[in-house]
Amino acid sequence: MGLENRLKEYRARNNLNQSDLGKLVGTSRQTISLIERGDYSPSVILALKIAKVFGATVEELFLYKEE
Amino acid sequence: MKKLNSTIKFFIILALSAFIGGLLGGSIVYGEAAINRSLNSFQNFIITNNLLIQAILLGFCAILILILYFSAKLKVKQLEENNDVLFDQIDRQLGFLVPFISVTMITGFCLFGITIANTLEDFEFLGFFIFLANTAFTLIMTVLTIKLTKVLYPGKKGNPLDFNFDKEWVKSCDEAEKFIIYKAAYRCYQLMNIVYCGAVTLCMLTSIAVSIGIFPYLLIGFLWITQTLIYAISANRFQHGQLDNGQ
Repeated sequence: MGLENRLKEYRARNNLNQSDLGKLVGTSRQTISLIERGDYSPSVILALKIAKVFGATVEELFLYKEE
Repeated sequence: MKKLNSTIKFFIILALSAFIGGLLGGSIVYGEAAINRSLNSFQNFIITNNLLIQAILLGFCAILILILYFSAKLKVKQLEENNDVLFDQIDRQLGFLVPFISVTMITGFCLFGITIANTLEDFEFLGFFIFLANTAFTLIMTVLTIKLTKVLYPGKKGNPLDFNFDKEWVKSCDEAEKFIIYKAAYRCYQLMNIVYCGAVTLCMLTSIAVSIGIFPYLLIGFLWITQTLIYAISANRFQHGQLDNGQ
């Protein structure tokens, strides 16, 4: 299983850097970087917070792909 | 088939380990005198030059800590917003500095233990002074490094001189940072099981050539059992409602 995400794309669209997004959702820049690289799958709460910032749904940002 | 393969692999490793153990044990019996001599001369070297080793080793560590700390501090001053490369560089430097300071403190404790064990009749004040100086230095550097880390991560909480520091620090970490801490702690647990096993084997092999008494076995056994029990009890507690992961 794998969790892909479109965080970078949404961040660019909203003109936000990793630090800004981190501040908005209450995490560090490293955590955003880890999520973007696919090295860390966020909790449901964090995924919902990120989706809220972009005005999108969690499904639009995170794509679950079965291998 | 896969299960059978892993069982065969397990028995092959077991047989190989027994063979290597036998080979090592045999060679120790044959080279008993030489091993005895070299271990004794190594021990004598450490005891005779204990203070010098302490001064040089801990002095070198102290210089390295100061260089790393002040270089990190300078980089923090130069850090501008959005400079992710420099941020990562400082983060890595501080991530090395904190455990290095701890290792220096632990080394100081161990070397002071050797001083105490071998100079009971004629107490070495210089050894005591080096130990005190090293402990004070490492404590001050820990506090300063944590302060610097807090400049980088303003959300971090906790005072290193407080007994609840670890608890407060982890509490102020975000979920990915916590995940990293827990993963690293589990890796440490796994590796320590191998280290304890290796230490007991090493003691058994050494005892063929040199008498080391029963205390190394008791100490390793005590530490190994303590670690296993703490892990098991904590895992059991977390499994039955004390996980506290719903924030």
